[in-house]
Amino acid sequence: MSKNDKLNRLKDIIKPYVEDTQKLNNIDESTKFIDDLAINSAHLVDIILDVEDVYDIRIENEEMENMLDVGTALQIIESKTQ
Amino acid sequence: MIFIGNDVIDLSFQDQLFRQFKNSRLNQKIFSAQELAIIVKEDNLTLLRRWTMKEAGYKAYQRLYELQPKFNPASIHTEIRDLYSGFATIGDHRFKLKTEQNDDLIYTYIDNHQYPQITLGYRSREDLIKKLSDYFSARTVYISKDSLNIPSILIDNKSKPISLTSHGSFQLAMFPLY
Repeated sequence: MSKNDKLNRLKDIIKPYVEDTQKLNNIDESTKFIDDLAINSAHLVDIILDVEDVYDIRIENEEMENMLDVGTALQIIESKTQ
Repeated sequence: MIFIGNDVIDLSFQDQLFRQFKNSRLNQKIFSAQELAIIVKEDNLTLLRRWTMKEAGYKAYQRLYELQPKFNPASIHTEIRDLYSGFATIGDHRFKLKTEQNDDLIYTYIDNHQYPQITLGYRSREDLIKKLSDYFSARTVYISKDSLNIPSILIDNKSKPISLTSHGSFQLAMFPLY
């Protein structure tokens, strides 16, 4: 799967929690979930659960700690699905 | 030393939040093992109150130690003392908290005992700047965030910490009076 495909798959996961579709369309690895996309922290947990379901992986709380931006989320997914 | 941290939940979203917090997988990511044993006996509103306690405590802790933003709510342990007060423990720091709750919202903030602190409701950034200008009779008011995303206000060139929280129709700012 290409880098772009991975980003688009993550975009699909976070879509239900983002009100501003323009911001969603412009995300890249530096995009921060809370600060840039205005995702509230309770929904951040939902996103992490959705990522676990979609990729059939388990993200420990210590790994979740830094999952505040798109790039880190993609890195964690990559490391768990190799 | 004064600690600043606040968090609000708009209870018009309570049904949606109750559904979210009923998910045991979600709870395992939010609550410590000790809390998980306690929350089974608690009502839904108390779970939401604990969430605001974690958020308010985290904001004060991040500011105190100038930490990079992190997201690990289960590492913050909450204790409820009575209807209005409780504690959030993060690392070796235990913050005393106050909670105000009514039919519309749950609002929790760090209890600084004798240090007076103010909460202002606002509609937009411009509205907050205007309210702060009026409150302090100030000529210039700026709101900024540092590289750690921690907000502060500059009132006539004097810097003050400020904590901002928003959910649904509520946007609340808290800052020390002096």
